[in-house]
Amino acid sequence: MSATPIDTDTVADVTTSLEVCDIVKSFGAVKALRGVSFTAHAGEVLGLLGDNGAGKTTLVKCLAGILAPDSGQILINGSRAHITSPKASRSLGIETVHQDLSLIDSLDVAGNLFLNREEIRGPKLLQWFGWMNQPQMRRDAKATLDSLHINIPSVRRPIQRLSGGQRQAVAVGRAVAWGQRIVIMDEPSAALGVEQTRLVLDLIRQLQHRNILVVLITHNMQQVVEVCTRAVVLRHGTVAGDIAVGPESARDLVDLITGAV
Amino acid sequence: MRKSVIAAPAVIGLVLALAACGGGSSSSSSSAEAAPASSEAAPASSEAPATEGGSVAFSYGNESAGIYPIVAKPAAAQAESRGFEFLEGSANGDCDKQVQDLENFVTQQVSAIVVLPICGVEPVTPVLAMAKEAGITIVGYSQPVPSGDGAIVYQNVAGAEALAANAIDWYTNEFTGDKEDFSWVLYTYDQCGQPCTDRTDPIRAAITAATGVEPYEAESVAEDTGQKALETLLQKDPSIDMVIGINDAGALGAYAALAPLVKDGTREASELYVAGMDGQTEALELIAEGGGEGGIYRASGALILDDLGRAVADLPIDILQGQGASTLELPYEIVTTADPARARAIVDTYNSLTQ
Amino acid sequence: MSTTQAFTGVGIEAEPLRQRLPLWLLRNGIVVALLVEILFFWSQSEKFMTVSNIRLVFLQVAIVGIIAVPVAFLLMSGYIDFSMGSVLGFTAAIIGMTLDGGSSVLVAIGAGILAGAAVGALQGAMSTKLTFSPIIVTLGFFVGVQGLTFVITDGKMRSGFPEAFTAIGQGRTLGIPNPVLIMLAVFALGWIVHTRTRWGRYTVALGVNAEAAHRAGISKTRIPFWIYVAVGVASAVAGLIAASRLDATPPTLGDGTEIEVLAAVLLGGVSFGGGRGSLIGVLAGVLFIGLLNNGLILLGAPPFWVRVSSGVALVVAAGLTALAIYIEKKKQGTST
Repeated sequence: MSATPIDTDTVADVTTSLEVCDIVKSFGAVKALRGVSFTAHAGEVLGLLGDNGAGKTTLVKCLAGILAPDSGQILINGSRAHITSPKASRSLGIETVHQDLSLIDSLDVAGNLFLNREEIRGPKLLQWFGWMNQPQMRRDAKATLDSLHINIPSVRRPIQRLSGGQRQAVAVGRAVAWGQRIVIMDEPSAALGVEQTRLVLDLIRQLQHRNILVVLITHNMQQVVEVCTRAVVLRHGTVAGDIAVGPESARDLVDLITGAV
Repeated sequence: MRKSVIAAPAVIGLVLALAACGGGSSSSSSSAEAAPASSEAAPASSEAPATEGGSVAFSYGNESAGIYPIVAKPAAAQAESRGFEFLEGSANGDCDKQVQDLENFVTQQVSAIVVLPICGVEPVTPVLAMAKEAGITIVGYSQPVPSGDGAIVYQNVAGAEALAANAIDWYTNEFTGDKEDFSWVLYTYDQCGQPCTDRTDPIRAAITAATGVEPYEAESVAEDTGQKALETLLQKDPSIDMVIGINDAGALGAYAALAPLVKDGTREASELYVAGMDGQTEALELIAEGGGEGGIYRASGALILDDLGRAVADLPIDILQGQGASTLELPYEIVTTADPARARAIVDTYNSLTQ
Repeated sequence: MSTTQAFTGVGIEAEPLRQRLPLWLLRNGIVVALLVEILFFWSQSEKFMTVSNIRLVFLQVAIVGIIAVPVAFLLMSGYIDFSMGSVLGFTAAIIGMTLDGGSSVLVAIGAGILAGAAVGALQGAMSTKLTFSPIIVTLGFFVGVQGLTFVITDGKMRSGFPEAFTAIGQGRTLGIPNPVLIMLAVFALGWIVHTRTRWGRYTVALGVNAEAAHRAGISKTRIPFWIYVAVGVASAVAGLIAASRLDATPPTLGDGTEIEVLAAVLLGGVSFGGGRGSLIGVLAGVLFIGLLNNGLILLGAPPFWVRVSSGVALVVAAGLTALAIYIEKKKQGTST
């Protein structure tokens, strides 16, 4: 178990590569993914784009271990990754911010940041009892959020007493703090105002500098152009385009998404 | 916090008398399919009855109950000795199954049906009317039934009066405490209606009249609740002298609360009287051994179950043969520590029947 | 949304007591109800607030209290059990028969607790890993285990146990009845697990948002399975105490206990459907019902009033919980 969340200044010492090879996933008669392949490397911010129902969220769930693909492989650093559960995904160094955030409402901010990564007290023999070191976790949570410049009244405030934007910030902060190799964000700025959106984009750049691969799902072309280095466009469960993103790419991307080319 | 009365063989008298009120909960022992009792019972669907003597069919409805063989075996023996075949149901607490059992009896053209309607009389009314039409003699067990030609009932009031008389006799002649300071407890179970109040009303009236003291009352028909209730009442009045239970199970609980006090010398055994009704085996066993700690469990108003079993065969056969009354009122016998040998004999009989 | 101001650093302090207390009281309305109840009975009967009566109430609620702790966890995690009373009777019967057969007290206790754990594990496996409906599974066990008790005992009571056994339930240590000490220890352990360990945290997380907990890598079935085992063991310990106190094991022992336990747990502010609740509330709920039974008997209330008022208390508790949720939601609405 990696005991503490990141030191947000460290740079990942391995260079990560993610290869998605021919992933197929159906729900009954509906083919959500019909053989999706792409490759991405640490240091990139990969935009994963597409219209509603294109298969983005399904692909995210396959990477997060929530869904198992019907066929195809996921390779990390060239070796096959068996992402059979969320736990497996996490232990491969993948962190995911889901669209619905996946926070526990009644737990406080520190509790959510450390969910299933609690710092345990006591001698080795009593570790199984799971006695948490709450003061330490609160201090670490504060340090982490401070270093990410995430503004929350207190790490002891329950999630249910935070605003929508603050919740989003906690969910993003959790992924950024724990992400070791890959951080996937599904619509991370959906509920956010201008200022907070700026914060999220800053965090994405930070990750990039730490040599962590970011996969960003968004409908906002301006954001894509601003932070993404490359974009994979999905349409009807297949890859419709895989292009490098530059200042002038927005138009091309919209065409790819809508199928105008 | 309902007590599933009928599921408890411990509550013998109540099981027999209160089918109407406890019926719904009887399914709680329905899973006990493999009870020893029904294993040697002739299944209801066996071959047609012998024509010369005829047949008596018995639907007790809860054939896996521990006390069933104590009733059914003497009934079968008695029927046989009078030249009748004896058939048994296998509803095991299931209301629908009991109706099926009765339908089978009608199809087999039995001579008489004895039925304890475990879910009240309504579900069995149509099939009993059908049986009546087919010329079958019908006897209600524990209560009269529609289309019935007769019934076996208990003398609840007389039994309660007899038990109260025993208690009063003890109070008058043996109680060594201060009569000015006498106090007593009555366990009730009002939710079952008349069959229960037929027991508790006469006891309350008689002992109140004889002692001039009204009882503390609590609801209990089981050992654990009987224990808790008396413990609490002893907080209110540490010198309670007498506890009468509507059944033996509750009284046994009161006994469990008092026994440690007698043992450690807090209470004098000669100031204490505990008794219940039913003639539950455990209570009779205690009486046979002299009444437990200090001999304070002094009496039980007992239904003699093998007598009851014989009546299950005798009453319908008597009606068929045109002799005797159509209603049999089974008396209670007051079994006391004054005659432990009698208690022992009853227990031995029961044990031999359940072996 | 008003985070446009400059970043000022994240707080680490809990919210001030004056903000938390009203919420705590709202969620633990039972504690207030318990105080009112005590004052009422105290004013009505001089027998009520005596050392021996309070000791008795604690003794009498020990059985329900011991089972209520793991059942509270079970409800918090979003599961349910209706079979506790039947398991209590079953394990007590096993203990009684083992003692009756001449085995040592330790062997008998071991057999009872093992049986309780086994029944709990069976129900747990079906309700969690095999995803059967927990309501149906545990109702099935409620009926089936009770029937099984009659089968193995032949419907007969065992009694007259060795002193070493009856001393467990009837004896005292430092003036406190042993069952009360056991109950308090179970509550203390439950409180620590709930508020201080990761297992308590995961239990709550599963009840509040099972999917989110799963996405954080927490197994949806592992903890609930072990809680079912704990309920089985607790029912066996309660059965052991009941048998020891009664010096007998009637096959009907424990009838209705499941309802009392669930009533106490729900009164304590734990809700069906998971997430909410505290062990302090549950202890208050257990005592509330125990004191109600005790107080009404001391006042000489007609027996059926005991049942009527237990029912009323439960309905009021349900109302309080709904009110608490409503007010919290409203507050939340205004804060965003």
